[in-house]
Amino acid sequence: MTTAEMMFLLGFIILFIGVLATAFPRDRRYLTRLIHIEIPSFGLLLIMLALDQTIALATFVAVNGVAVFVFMRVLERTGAS
Amino acid sequence: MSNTLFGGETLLATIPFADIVWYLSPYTLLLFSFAVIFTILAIISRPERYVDTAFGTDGYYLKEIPLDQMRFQRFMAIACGLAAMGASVTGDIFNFTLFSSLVGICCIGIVSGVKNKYVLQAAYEYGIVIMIAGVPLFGGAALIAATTGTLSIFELSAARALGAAVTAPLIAKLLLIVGVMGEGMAPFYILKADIARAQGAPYILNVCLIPVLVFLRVIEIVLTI
Amino acid sequence: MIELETYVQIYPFALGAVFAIFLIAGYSLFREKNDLHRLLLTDLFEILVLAIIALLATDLAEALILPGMVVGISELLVISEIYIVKEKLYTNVGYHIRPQLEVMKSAPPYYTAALVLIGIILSGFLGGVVAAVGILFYLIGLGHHERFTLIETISGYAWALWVVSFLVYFILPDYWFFAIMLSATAVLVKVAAKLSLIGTMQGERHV
Repeated sequence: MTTAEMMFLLGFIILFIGVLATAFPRDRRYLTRLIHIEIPSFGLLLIMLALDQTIALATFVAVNGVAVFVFMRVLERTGAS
Repeated sequence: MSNTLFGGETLLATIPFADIVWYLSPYTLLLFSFAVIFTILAIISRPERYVDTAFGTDGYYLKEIPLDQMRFQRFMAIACGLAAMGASVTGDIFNFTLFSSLVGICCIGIVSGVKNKYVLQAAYEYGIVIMIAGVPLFGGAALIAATTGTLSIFELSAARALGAAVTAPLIAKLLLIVGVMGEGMAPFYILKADIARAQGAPYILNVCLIPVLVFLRVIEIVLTI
Repeated sequence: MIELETYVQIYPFALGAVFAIFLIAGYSLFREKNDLHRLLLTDLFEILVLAIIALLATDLAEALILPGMVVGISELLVISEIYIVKEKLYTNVGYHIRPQLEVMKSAPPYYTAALVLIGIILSGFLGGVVAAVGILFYLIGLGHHERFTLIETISGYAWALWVVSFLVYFILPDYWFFAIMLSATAVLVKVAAKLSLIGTMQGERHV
C-alpha cells in the first residue's frame, strides 16, 4: 500500500471517528461539540492531501477558521460554557 | 483581437471563452419568463395594508407599514428571482445546484425579515433543512461528474438520446431530486408559521412560487439526461 | 498520487462510507432538541458536502469545491444570525482583552507590511487570508477605533472592481484574462478587509 493510499484510508478513519465523537459526545456543552467538529475536518484535510488537491486544502483551512469565528460569536453571547 | 492600449506588450489574451452555456428550449424559456415576471412584481409592488377589526363593532383599522422596513425583504425577493432566472436557463448541472442553494438562502432571508418569534423559529428550522439537503444535491452532481465525466446537460442528453454506454446513473438523478425537494420546503414552513398575517405580504409570493419553478426545471433535467 | 486502477476500485467503498456517515450524523441531528446543538451538528453536513466533491479526485474537483464552501459558509452565517436575533442575544457581548506589551506597539507596522506583501504575491483567496492576518495584527496591537472607515472604503472600491470584472466576463468574453486579473486583485482586497473586520468587531454595540 503506497503512502497516498495509507493517507486516504487514515483520513477516512479519522473522519468516521470524528463524526461518531461529535454525534454522541460525552458531555453536552457547546464548546465540547465545537472542538469535536475539528476532528472530521482534519480527516477531510488528509483525504484532500492524498488526492493532491492543494488549493482546496488551503482554502478549506481558511474557511474552517472563519466558521469557528462565526460559531464562537454565537456561543459567546449565550453566556453559558 | 489584441490590444496595445497599455503600450508595448499586449495586456489581454485572445483565447476563446466557451464555458458558460445557455440551455434554451421552449420549456426553459417559459420558466425564465415566469421568473422575470416574479422579479418585476417584487420590484414594483408596495407593502400591504393590514386590516384589524375592532371587536364588537363593524369598524376596522388599516395599519400601514412603510417601505423602508421591508427593504431587506424586497432585496431578498429580487435576489431570489434572479437566482431563479439563472436556474431556469443554465446548461450546466453544477451551476444549477449552486443557483438552487442560492434560492434556498434567499428564501430564508425573505422569511426572516419579520421579527416575530414563531416566524423566526420556522426560518431557523428551514435553515437546518437546507444545510442537510445540500448533501444529496451536491452528491448527485458529483456522482454525475464521476460516472460520465461531464457536467454539461447538452452532452448528457445527447448521450442518452444516442443510447451510449455510459449515461447518468439513476441514483444520481434521484439524489438531485431529493436535494431540490429539501431546498424547496420553504412554502411548508411559512404556512406553519402563519406568515400571511405577519409583515412581508407581497414578497412572500417569491418564497412560494420560485421553489416550484426550480423543481419543474430539475424534473426537466432529470428526464433529459 | 493514487493510481487510477486502484482508485476506481476504492471509489464505491468511499461513497458507501460517506453515506454511512451521513446516516449517523442525520440520526444524531434527529434526536437533538436544542437549537444551538443543531446548529453545531449541521457543520458536519458541510464537511460531508466537501468530502463528496473532493472524492471526484480530478482537477475539476478543486474548482467545484470552492463554490461549495462559499455556499456552506454563507448558509452558516445566515442561520447563526437568525439564531442571535431569535434569542435576542444582541445585548450580551463579551469583554475583550488587549495585551499591554511594548512589542505590540512597535512590531505591528513591519509585520503588517511583510504579511500584506506576501499576501499580494500569493494573490487570490489565500493571499487575502494572509493579508488579513497582517491587518488583524495591526488592529489588535494599535487599536482599531478610527481605522474602520478606511477599511470599509477600500473594500468598497474592491467591490466595484469585482462588478466591473464580471461585466467584462459577460459582455466582452474575449478579454477574460484581464477580467481574471482584476477579480483576483478585488477578491484579495475584499477577503483581507472582511476577515480583519470580523475579528475586531467584538465588543461593539449593535454587532
